[in-house]
Amino acid sequence: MFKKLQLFSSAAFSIGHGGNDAQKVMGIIGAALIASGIIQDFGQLPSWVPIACYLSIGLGTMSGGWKIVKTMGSKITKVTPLEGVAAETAGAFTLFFTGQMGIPVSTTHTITGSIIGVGATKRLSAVRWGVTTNLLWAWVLTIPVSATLAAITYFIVTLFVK
Amino acid sequence: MSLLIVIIALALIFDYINGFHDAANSIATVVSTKVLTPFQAVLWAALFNVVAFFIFKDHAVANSISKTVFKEFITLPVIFSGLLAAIFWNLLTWWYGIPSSSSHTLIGGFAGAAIAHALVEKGISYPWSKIVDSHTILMTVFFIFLAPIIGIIISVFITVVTIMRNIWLRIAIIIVVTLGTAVLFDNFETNKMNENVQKFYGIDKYQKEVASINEELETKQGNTDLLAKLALNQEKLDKATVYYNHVKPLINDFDNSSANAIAKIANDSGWLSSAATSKIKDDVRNANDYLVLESKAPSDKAAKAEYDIAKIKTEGYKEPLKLYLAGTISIDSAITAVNAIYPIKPQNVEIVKKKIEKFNIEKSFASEIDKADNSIIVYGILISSLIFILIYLYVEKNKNSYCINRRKHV
Repeated sequence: MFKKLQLFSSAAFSIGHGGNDAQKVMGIIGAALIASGIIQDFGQLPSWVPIACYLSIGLGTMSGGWKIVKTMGSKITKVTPLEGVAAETAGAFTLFFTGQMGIPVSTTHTITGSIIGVGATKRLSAVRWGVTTNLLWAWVLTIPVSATLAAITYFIVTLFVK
Repeated sequence: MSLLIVIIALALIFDYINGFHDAANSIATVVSTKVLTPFQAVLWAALFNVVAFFIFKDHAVANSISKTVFKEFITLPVIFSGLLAAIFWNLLTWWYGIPSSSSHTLIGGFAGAAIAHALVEKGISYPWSKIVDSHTILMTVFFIFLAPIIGIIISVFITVVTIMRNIWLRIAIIIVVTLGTAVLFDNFETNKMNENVQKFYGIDKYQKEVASINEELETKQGNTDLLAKLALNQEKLDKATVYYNHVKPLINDFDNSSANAIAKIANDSGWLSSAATSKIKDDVRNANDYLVLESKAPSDKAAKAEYDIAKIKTEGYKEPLKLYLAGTISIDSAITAVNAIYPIKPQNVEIVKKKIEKFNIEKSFASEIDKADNSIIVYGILISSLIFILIYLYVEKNKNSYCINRRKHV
């Protein structure tokens, strides 16, 4: 029974994923359009921007999925349909909630948290806490590291474009 | 212009990689439980990625991203470097199998490039708080921890409820939680609408202006120019607040009416007229390359001088445009009058005319309200809990009849 329910929960999660992540790119394109004076305010974003963003994230999911089809099978941890539904519903809800508040969050972090939650309900030792701590480090470092990378890139770029 | 096209292409590539990167998240569980074949799962996820376009109307997240860096420091090279760094980091983490977040990479890259740009322009001692919006950054960092925690709490909750023995207790909990959530989202909707309307009236803009003048006054006490400016902005703020207070009760009652109805009432009661004049003025001057001037101003002395003149003079556009909106003068004489105040470039005359003709205050006000409408999400939550409840009942019924059958056999 939970198998069929998973159709809904995975659809909801994909909606949350598309809605959150495509918007981030829209934000960047919007900023570029504002910087070049084509629009004055975010409200005037031309409608081709969201359409293009949603389509390209959909295309990305399609082609990324193909690669996973080959490598998947045994690699993925065993999840029962019930756990799948619980994790995806929880993920979808978090994405809707933050999407409404306008807070950019990571879909990866959200689904990871949800899966940890499902695992922890079985028993706390079902979660590999060592791996989780490593993940947390990677998450915290992402912003400063990519900021530094971008600063270096900027200095290189300004050598050529001015 | 060519850099802009490169940026848009790079951004879409980034988006594509993001889908690529996260496809595993979306389809892993459905495929491993054999609900869908991998091919179906991929199509299913991609389809609903695109469906999101129809559900998230407000683009609130996009808005926060574009406001991470203050406008003054957003230039095309900055965005370009941020994107390049983000794509590089994304591919690197993907290669090493680290599930890092593409969104945080994007924000980090954008902010980092802007800080580098500002330090080059303004010197090492320039405060970072004036380059990037610390509120957005803090919020994002805060949610690095909060988002997984919310995920954990909800998934624990769902699992615990599902394995609970007593079905009636289970259903009661679901109903209570669903209603709570619906009220929460309804509350968000009202807040967001109020926020959008406040922005429409420029209340946030005037508040910021007043605050910055007050700050400046502390160092230059008793400066008459500043005091006059302060009084002017304060007056505008008060006026905008009065109109906003008229509209507020209508918005709080949104569930019983619609955006178009509210906009109609507001327009008919004249609560939009002063906002309309200032908006149509903005439209006209922006159609005349005002923004291009603004983006050049920080780095170009001549552009800065021209910008300062344009900024003050174009305020005068309001008078003829007001007459046009009231129907007193024709569009051509409005353009002639506008041209006399601050010249419209010949190549822009047609664009300006089109902007004026297309201007419809009631419609843009309505769309501002409509953007915050999240009824679809609320209905989605209600329907999905209903499905949950029905399934529980169905399972329960089958279980009982199974027990009865077994007893008969014994």
